[in-house]
Amino acid sequence: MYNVVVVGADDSPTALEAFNRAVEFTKMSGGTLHIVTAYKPKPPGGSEVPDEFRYSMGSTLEADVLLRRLADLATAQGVATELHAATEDPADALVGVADREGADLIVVGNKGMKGARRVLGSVPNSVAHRATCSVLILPTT
Amino acid sequence: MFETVVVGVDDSPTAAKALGAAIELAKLSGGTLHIVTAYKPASRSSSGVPSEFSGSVQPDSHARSLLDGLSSRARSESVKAETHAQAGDPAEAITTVADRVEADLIVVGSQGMQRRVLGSVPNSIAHGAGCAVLVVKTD
Repeated sequence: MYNVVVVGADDSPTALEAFNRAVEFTKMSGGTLHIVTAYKPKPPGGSEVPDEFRYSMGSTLEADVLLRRLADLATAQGVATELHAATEDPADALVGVADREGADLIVVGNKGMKGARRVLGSVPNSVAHRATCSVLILPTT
Repeated sequence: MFETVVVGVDDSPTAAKALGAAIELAKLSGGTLHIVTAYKPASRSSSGVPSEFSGSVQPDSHARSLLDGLSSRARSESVKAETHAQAGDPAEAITTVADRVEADLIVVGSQGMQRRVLGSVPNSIAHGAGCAVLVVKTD
């Protein structure tokens, strides 16, 4: 039923909590977990790398390290993963990967959805409104 | 993973799809499904019951037969189902029942989410719930 599951990741504790539950969910449904992280490419300070190479020199490394670390956690649970590092805004990245991979489900934490932090443009809010598949919003706040 | 699943329904196709997803998930996680529908309490003029007692008025036969039909669909798929007819606004009805049964998941259809209508049912629930919310793509 949920064969292709997309989850967003950054290095925050709430994202990790959502990630762990996404792993649990994907294990339960027997699907593949697509882990997406969005990063802002930034030129490495002080070095003289031309712009066209900065992606591979900047925070791509951090994004890759994060993705690998999370993939290992999923693999330890017997869940198959695919990894996506994107330079778009996080909500765009999640919805974009979900569309490209024909996802059945996007999993997001609810950070920013409730109460005073109900901010227009928060990632879960934006994803819930724009996704073309089902969305699981997990309580992490 | 989801021991107690709450799904909000009415007689729309979107609700039927949300119910289908909720049944699947309750089955996968071996949980109990609580099927909730909201109804408008009969008005004083038509029922003769003073408004302060309207909450205790039996739900209309429409709500009852809807819940009966949907719960038998769940049971036919071997999912333990309980039904709740709750007076009032749908989003409130769903979150009220979810709080009462200590749900760990609420399932709703996405109808109305993409139009960004303030006050749409899935929108209110996604913002107001204290548990996980699955917005099932139904439109």
